[in-house]
Parts: sequence; C-alpha cells; structure tokens
Amino acid sequence: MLSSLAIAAVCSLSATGVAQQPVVKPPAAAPVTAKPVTEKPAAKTKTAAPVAKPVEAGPAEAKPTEGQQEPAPPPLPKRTLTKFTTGDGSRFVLIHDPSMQLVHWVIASWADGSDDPPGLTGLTLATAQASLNGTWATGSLDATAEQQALIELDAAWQKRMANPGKANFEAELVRLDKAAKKLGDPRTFQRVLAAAPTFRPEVTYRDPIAIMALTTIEPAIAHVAKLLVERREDQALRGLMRVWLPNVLQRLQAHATQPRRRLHAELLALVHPFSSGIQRLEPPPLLAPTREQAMAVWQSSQHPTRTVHVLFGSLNAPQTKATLAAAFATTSLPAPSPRRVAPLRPITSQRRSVVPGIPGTGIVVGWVLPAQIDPWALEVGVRWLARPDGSLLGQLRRTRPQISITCRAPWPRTSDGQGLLLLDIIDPSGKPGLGPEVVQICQQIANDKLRGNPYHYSYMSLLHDWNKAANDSRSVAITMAERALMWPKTSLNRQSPPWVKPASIAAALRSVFVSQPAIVEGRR
Amino acid sequence: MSHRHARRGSSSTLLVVIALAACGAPPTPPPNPEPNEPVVPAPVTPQASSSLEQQTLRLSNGVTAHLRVAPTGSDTRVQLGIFAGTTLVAPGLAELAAHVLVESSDPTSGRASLRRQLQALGGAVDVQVGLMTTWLDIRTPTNKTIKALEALRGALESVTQSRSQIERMRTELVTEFAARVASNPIPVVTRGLLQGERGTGSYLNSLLDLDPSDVSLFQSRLYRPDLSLLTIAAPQPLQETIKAVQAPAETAMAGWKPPPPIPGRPKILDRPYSSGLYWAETPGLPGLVRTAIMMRLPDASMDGAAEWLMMHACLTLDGTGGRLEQMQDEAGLPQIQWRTHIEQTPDAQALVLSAMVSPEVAAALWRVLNRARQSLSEVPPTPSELELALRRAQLNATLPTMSDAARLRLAAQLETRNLAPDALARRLRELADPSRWDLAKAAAAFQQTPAWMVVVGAEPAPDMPGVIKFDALPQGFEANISSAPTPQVIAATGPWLIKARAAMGGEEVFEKLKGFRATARLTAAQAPPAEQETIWDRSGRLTRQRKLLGQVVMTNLDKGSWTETLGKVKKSLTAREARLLRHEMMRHPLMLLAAHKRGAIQFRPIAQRNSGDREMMVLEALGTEFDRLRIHIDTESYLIRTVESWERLPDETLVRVHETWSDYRAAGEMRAPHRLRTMWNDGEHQTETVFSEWLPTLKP
Repeated sequence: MLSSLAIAAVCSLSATGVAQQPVVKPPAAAPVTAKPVTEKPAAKTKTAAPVAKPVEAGPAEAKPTEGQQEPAPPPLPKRTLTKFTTGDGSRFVLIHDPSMQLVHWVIASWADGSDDPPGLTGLTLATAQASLNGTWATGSLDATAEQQALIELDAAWQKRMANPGKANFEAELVRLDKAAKKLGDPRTFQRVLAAAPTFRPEVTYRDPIAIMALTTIEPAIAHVAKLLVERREDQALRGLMRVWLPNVLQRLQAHATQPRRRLHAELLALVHPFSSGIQRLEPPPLLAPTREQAMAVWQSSQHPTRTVHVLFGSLNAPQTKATLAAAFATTSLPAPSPRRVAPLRPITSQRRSVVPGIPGTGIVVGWVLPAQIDPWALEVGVRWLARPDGSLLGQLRRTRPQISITCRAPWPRTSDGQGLLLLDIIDPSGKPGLGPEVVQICQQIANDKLRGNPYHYSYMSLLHDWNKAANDSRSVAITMAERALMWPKTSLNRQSPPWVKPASIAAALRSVFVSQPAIVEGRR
Repeated sequence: MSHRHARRGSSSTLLVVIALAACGAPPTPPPNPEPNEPVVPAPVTPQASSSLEQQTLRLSNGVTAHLRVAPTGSDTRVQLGIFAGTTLVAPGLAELAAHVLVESSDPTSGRASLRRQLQALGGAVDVQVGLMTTWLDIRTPTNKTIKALEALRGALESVTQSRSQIERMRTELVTEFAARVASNPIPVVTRGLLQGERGTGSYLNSLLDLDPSDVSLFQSRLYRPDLSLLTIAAPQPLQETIKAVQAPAETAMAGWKPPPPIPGRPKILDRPYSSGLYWAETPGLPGLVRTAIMMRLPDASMDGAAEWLMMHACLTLDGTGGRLEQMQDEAGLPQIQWRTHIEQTPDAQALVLSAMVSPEVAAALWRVLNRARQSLSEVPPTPSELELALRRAQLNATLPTMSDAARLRLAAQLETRNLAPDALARRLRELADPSRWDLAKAAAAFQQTPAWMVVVGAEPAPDMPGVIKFDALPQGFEANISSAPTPQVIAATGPWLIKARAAMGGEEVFEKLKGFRATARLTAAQAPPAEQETIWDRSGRLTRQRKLLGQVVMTNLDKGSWTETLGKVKKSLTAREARLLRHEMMRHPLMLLAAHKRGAIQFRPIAQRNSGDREMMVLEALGTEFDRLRIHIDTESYLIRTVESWERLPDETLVRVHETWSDYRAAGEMRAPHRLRTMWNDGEHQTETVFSEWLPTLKP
C-alpha cells in the first residue's frame, strides 16, 4: 500500500511537474485608486533581476537561450498598507496580502487600568470580554424589561458584596439572576457573528491591551462592521459579573503564586506612584462594579478615538476603506476624558527599597526610558542584556554563576514607550552587593565604546522569535494591532523586525543608563 | 456513531465523493441575522498561477519543487514534504524520525542541529506530521534563503545514527508530549485522532517502545528525493529561487542524493479514522469534565468538499446556530460556551468545539450530536438554512489556509494535481442553485464523514454504550521515562516476573535451574535444515553439536577456551563470537527468569501493549550485559512470548534480534517453549527452531 499511495502522489507530481509547460499569464493590473494616507512597503523591486523562465527539466533548461531578449521581470506581488481615520475617530490599518484568502480583524484598546475606577482595576477588560454577550438589539427578548432586570440584579450584587454570607441576599441574587437570564440570550450575538460569517470571535488580554479578534472573508466586511458598531454603541454588558468575578479570583491567585509581583509593584511605586500599573500588580479588593461604572468604563475605553482596527488579509483596500468609512461614521458615545497617564520623568538620584517575605533572593532595578526611544533598538538591547553573551549577564555570572535575568522594556507596556527598563534579577547565592554591582556594570555599558556588533545574536533571536510566531496570520494581525496602539507613530510597512544599527542600540542603552535607577531588594 | 470511517488523511490519494440530494420539511432554522441582506457569494481571491509567479519542476535528483513568488514584505518559507506519515508505521515513529532529523547534531564535526542553524540565521523550523506526509516548515529572512536550504540539505545528509542521541531525543519528545497532555489534554488528543491514533496513552506506549534502529530504517527508506516535495515561497524573482535549489550541486537541494535505501519495506498499519466517543478517566475538578466535539473539514483539494461544507454549516456554525444547538436546546441541555479552534495536520483538519461540562451533559451531547447529524438526512435543510450555510461555508472553505504553511501546502497540492485554486469557491456558488446538487445524497455522504467526541475527567457512567476508553498517560508513565529507574520502579516488575515463573514451573524449580539440554531442528529460507544438540550451563559453559549436510560442527565454550571444530579443522572463536553464543543461550525465557530470581538481572517496565488479540507487558533489562533486551509477558497466561535484543556481530555491525517463543509444553519439572522463530533486523533474515526435546538442568 505504501508504494501505491506514494507512487500515486509522486506520479501526479511528476506528471504535472516535469512535463507540464507552465502557462504564462500577464500579472493582473492593480486597481488604480486614490489613497489619501497610503504607505507603500519599503521592499524594493529588483528591476535588474534575472528573468523568470519556465523550467521544463533540470538546470540546463533553466537558462535562457543565447541571443534571446530577456523580458522584463514581472513586478512582485505586493502587500499594501492603508491607514486612515473614519468619521467617528476610529483608526484603521488595512493590510492587503494577495496570498491570503481570509481577513483577520483585530481591535486593540487599552486595558491598563487608566479607565478603571479606584478599586475596580480590570473592569475595562471585563467589559470587553462581556461585550460578546450581545447588545440590546441583538440578544434581548424585551430590551426594556431586561434593562430593568439588570438594574435590579446590579443592586442585589451590591447588597450581596456588602453583606457577605447572608443567605437572604444570596437567595435574592439567584432569583434576580434567573429572571434576567430569561430576558436575554448571550448566545444570540455570537450566533449572529458566526452567521455573518466570522470565525472564533474572542477577546483576549495581552497585558495591558484588550484584543478583540475575529476572522472573516472580504464579502462579509460590511456586515461585520455593522455588528461591531452595534457592539460598541448598543452594548448591554450582559453577564458582566460572570466575567468579573473569575477575573478577580484569577488575579488573587496570581498574586499568591507570584511573589515577585510585590517587588514590581514596589518599583513602580518608587518611580511612578500614580501609575495604574501598581493596582494591576496588587491583590484586588473583592468589590462588585455597578452597571453605571461598567458602562462608563466601556464607553470610555471603546470610544473610537481610543481604539485601533487592523484588517489583515485578502481585501480590496479602496473598497474596504469606503465600506468602513460608511459604517464607522459617527458615534453616540460621550467624549472620553483624557487618558490618565501621568508623565514619567527620569529620576536624578538613586531610589531604593527593601521588600521582606520574598522567596528567592534578588533585586529588581528600573530606569525610566527617555522620550522618543527607537522601539526596535530598545527591543534588541533588552534581549542583549539578558543573554549570556551580553555584557551584563556575562559579567555577573563570573561571580554569581547561578544568576538569571529577565529584562523588559517598556515596562509596564504603555503608549510611545513611556515606561521603565526593568531588570528582574534572581541570585540564589544571596551574595550581598548585587544592586551596586548591577548599576556599575550598566554604567560601564553606557560608557563603553562600541566594537563590532555585539548585538548580532540578540537581533537574530528577535528574528527567530518573529519567524516562530509569524506562521499564524491571525497572530500577526494581533501583533500589528498592538504595535499600532503602542507606537502610534511607528511604521507598519514592514512586519518582521527591521535591521537595527549597532550604534543605535548602543545609543538607546546609553540614553537609558545615563539616568539613575530605582532598586528594590527582595528579602526572605 | 459506530461506523468506522475509513477515510485517510491524504485527499490526494483517497477521495470520498459526496453526492447531494434534496429533501422535504425542515425544523426551525437558526435565526438569520439579516434576512433581507444576503451576502452575495463571492469568489475566494484566486492565487496567481502565472509561470512568472509560480513554477513546478523536477530537480535532477527526483525532488519535485513547487516554487512561488511571495508578496513583498513577507519572509521566505521553505517547506519540505516527505511522503512518510503516521499511517505507514508504528505510532510515534514518524514524529520521532522528524524530530531526530531536526535535532541531530554532530559534535565531532561541529555541525549544529538544523533547528540551531536556522535559529542562528534568524529563522525557525516547525515539524508537522500527518497521516500520509511529514513536513518541515521553515521560515527565514529572505537574504538567508540559500543558507537555510544548505542547512536543510546538510540535515538530510547527516542524520545521527547514534543510539544514545536518538534515545535522548525520544525522551525529550516523550517528556514534552506528556507535559502537554498534563496541562491541556484536549488539543493533544484531538490532534492524535486526526493522525489516526486511538488515544494519548497508547501513543506514548508505542513511542517509548520504539528503537533507534526503527528511526534509521524509516529515514533510509522514506526520506528520499523521489518521495519529497519542496515548496518555496520567497519575495524575490522566481528565477533566483530556481537557481537557489539547483546550484551548486555540493550544497543545493538538487544535489541531495542519499545512499540506497536499506532493503525491505516498512510495515503498513491499517489506521482508519474511527468516529466515536473517546473517554479518558483522569483526576480533575469534581463534577466537571473537559470535553470536545471534533468534526473533520475538507479542504479545496477534496472531491465533494463544497457539499460537505454545506452540510457541516447546517449542523453548526461556530458551536452556535445550526441543528446542533437547536437539538441541544430541545434536549434541555444547559447553554454551553464553546471555545473553537481548527486542529490541523498536513493531511487533514477539523473544527474542534471544547468546553467544561458535567459528565452527564457530555454523555448527552454525544447523543445530541449524532441525532443532529442524522437529522440532516431525515429532515433536509430548509432554504433559509441553506442560505445561511452557504454564507458560512465560504468562510469554512478558507479556514484550512489560516497559517502560511498550510496555505503554501494546499497551493502546492492544487498546482501539482492540476486543480484550479478557485474550484471550491466556484462549486459553492453553484450550490446556491438547489437544482445543481442532490441534497439527500450530500446528507447521506455527510453521515460518513468522521466526527469524534473526547471527554477527559470523571469516569463515564457504567451503562453508557459505545464509549471508547483510553488512558491519557500510560500506567506508571512517570517511572518509564526516568532514565535512572527508582527502586520502586524496579520493584513494580516483580509481580509480573513472579507470575511468569509460576506459569513456567514455580519459584522453587527456578531457584534450582542452572542450564538446559536441548535437541532441535533449525530451518531457514534458502538454506538446508540443520539438527542441533545443545548443553548449556549458566556458568558460561556451552557444548553445541550442529549437523548440516552430513557435516558436524562442534562448538565449545568453557571459561577461557572458545573453539569451533569441523572435521579435523579447529578454530578459535573471538571474544565477540563467544559472547554472541552465550547471549543466545541466556536469552532463553526460562534462563532470563532464573537470572532475575537469583538477582543477576533486573527489569523496568516499558509499556503494557495490545498486540493483535493479546495484551503484553513489556519489561526491559537493566545493566550492561545486554543492549536493550526486552521481554514481552502475556498478561493472561504470563508466558514470555517475545524476547528482543540488540547484538553486535563480530564485524561490529549492530543487529536487532527478535525471538518469538511459542508452543509451551511440559519439560521435566518445568514448562518451556518448544518453538522459536528468530528474526534479524526487521525480518530480512529468519530462522525457525523446533525443539524435539528441551530439558532443564537443575541443581540437586
């Protein structure tokens, strides 16, 4: 059977592969359209490239016949990128890839706590997750009655949280929950999305960004757009507490199992005491948001001016742009207050702190990132610092062989690289003097003259990680949406990490280490 | 669902034609969100098929190459497909062979593994194994394409033959697989089902049971240029890619010419898809089980794909909508929040809906799924159901191309089979007209498409019919993967060996067993028969007289003297030859059991394996006397049925000896096998020994 199967397959290959003379067709002309803000990929077409000729068999036939005029090479199929903002303020990035058949649609929005009321950190993400349970128009059997039922349920939750363990409040909650469930069906909106058609609509969290992603096909874009606008404008936040409570429990668990979060929170408190990131790292209080609070958070975090849409795949960009412009023309959501992101200034004198009760000795060190830092130079530099061939880990391991380093920047992730370069260093030896040693080596790195390209392997590891993940076009679309939200001014023409000059990486690291760090030491 | 669906993964070889038919009154369809706004079926964007953008050619060494121009801004993808999938061999072998290819390194020459070489170039490699094919999916920066191809060729030409390296890689593979099962078993189990497996436990058992020589044989016979398809999509003029695969001959893929294959053919195991409810009992949350419904989806290369997709979309959209949800509601099942994903191997893909539910709901869901599928035949879909399905089917038709690698594989397959890339889209558009297809026939054919349900968690109800139980991990698995078995692990083999001794004479007689005397007749294909008399003592003394064609060969082993005499010619044997002979005697099942009894040899458990109608416990000998000696104990009779081992021949060649023992009969105070079939390597040389007499020598 082996032979018959393999031979069948191979025969079909040889029959088509060797004997068939490929049919030459002229490449289809691209539609000529006006693109107000269109970026073209940076890749260059090699006009002087050798001619592509059909090959019948073997290398000999591949060569053009002597004296023949070599025709001009065909233009390479292109990915095109179109950026625009629709009437309601939504930012769109359309990436047309002629080799794809699907369209991945990703909406990225901040869930970093800047929209959350005090004590309710994580509410932005919970509302985004609950948003797939439908709208008043889609999913409600009687919108007025359901709204009333949800208000009553909301009040019951507040009573229940204020009076834990009281059976009468518990019973009332169950009764009202059942009543509300009878008036709305969270599956309806998902069913409608599935029929649009879309595949796997879901909301995921890529700290601190909420990602709404789905996969569809070009003919359905108009219909999906309509549903996404409906989701934004007519949100019911049905079943919010079913999302909120597990999220809170998960964060409590994370806090209990990851004691180094306390070090990270302390570092932020030293450098950026008003950062919403501190609350994300601390154990959340057991509170229930009111519907009013949740709706305010939803409207603020999902306001069109706060979101970025990336559509990646097989699409006609001008046509899609027109469709989206029509669908995302206006919004009835109230204008949001400016994002609560306090400016971060480099610190001028070293700040230190000690946190007791941390298993596994070590420190966390943070430097404030300067403004306008090159994100790719920073990314390569961060990798280099944590690699054994890098100067920092290499030098530290001479005296502390078991030491390990995690390096992140910008940390916490926020827009335009406003954040810290974080070094989380674990030294099982517990030898004293780790903090000063780290700071000294980093200052030495800032002062060292660049010789050769010490960052080569770090850049290759970045490329490797990209290539490992880029096979899945949906995750590429998500990465693009994250990039567009985090680095609004960065170019998205190139998907894979661009080459970064060693001098730029050295300069980026120098600009970071020139300031003073904050150091938090963990003690058992 | 009890039917066995014999569909194989490769659509290019085994195609099922789904025909269609129209039928009558429907149940209430799922709500149509926009009844007045039909989505006009549109063609899936066709791939460019110009020879300036793609070309298929046969390289001089027999490799078929499908080369394409990728859009600017993308990375280069190099994919090597080999017609060597899971259906051809024992479970796990195709994966292990591919893993060995990617991870093999040569410290003496300084050659890093393919994975590391690509990593150093900024690229990455992924291994995908399907029923029929194995694929190495490589992504690399475009300016490193030639280097990546060189690394690939280098890996194909220098796969390690080192037993210890292959065994280490097997341990890595086993550990990684087990970790995935422990953390989230559903994707692992569903993927296994798509590869024709019957559960993760038996798969791991088989993987643990593989021998490094199996890998070498598999690669020698199947990793061959004429069984390979090389696909490249690079954002550069096609001519540059063509050059890169053809020259220079020393490093380009066209110059890959492996040595002739080892003679023989791999044994092909029949592994059809078998729909059913697969249930693994594992510790978990009380009252909750992990469950998944998996339905295979066709790709554009399969006949009848459009009709299949239509029926599937009538059944369910994304876990919501369709007959499935409707019947769930009718059965009073609670609302289930399904998580969906596409499970994909190079030769097949399926939609997987997974959730946490109670065991009762899981059991009910299986019944509902079957009823919903059958309902498509009994009550044909309504026009509104079909309209919705048509819209959805257009999306589902493209889901197999979610990843770049899968897209390139499919494009290569369509191109090499002369199929139009938009044929499926066109056919779907035709289905908008009910007169163009037979709905009833399509519904009937849909019943034959594979569908599985997997449950992992609490025990199934004892009265549940048709449950296919499997182990998530084999019994005593943790012990098996340990390279240095603990005393507890070694002790776990005790009961098996005690029962084996009881079945063959009892502890007392084994205590006294010190050797045997035997008279036998040996036969082998294309060789004259021989008569043989043997006297063996466990101290290492052997006297053997073999009569062959009227001549007598006398063999004597005694402490430092090892000789063989033919007539007047006497020859000394080498230490290696003497050791071979001694091992042959020591491998006798009764001698092994006696050695264990007196503490001269210890075993560790390897696997409990189903072999035809028999279940065998496989134990492996520890220590340095033998190289991977394994005994297979029948779990019903406790007789040793098989002994396998590796032996080094006088010329240093390593051979695999596989001895099958049968015809157990009374032999003095013991019960001993009287028939032995010996196979060397994978059967290229066989002998049969029939003992007319076999008597134990016992201490007084």
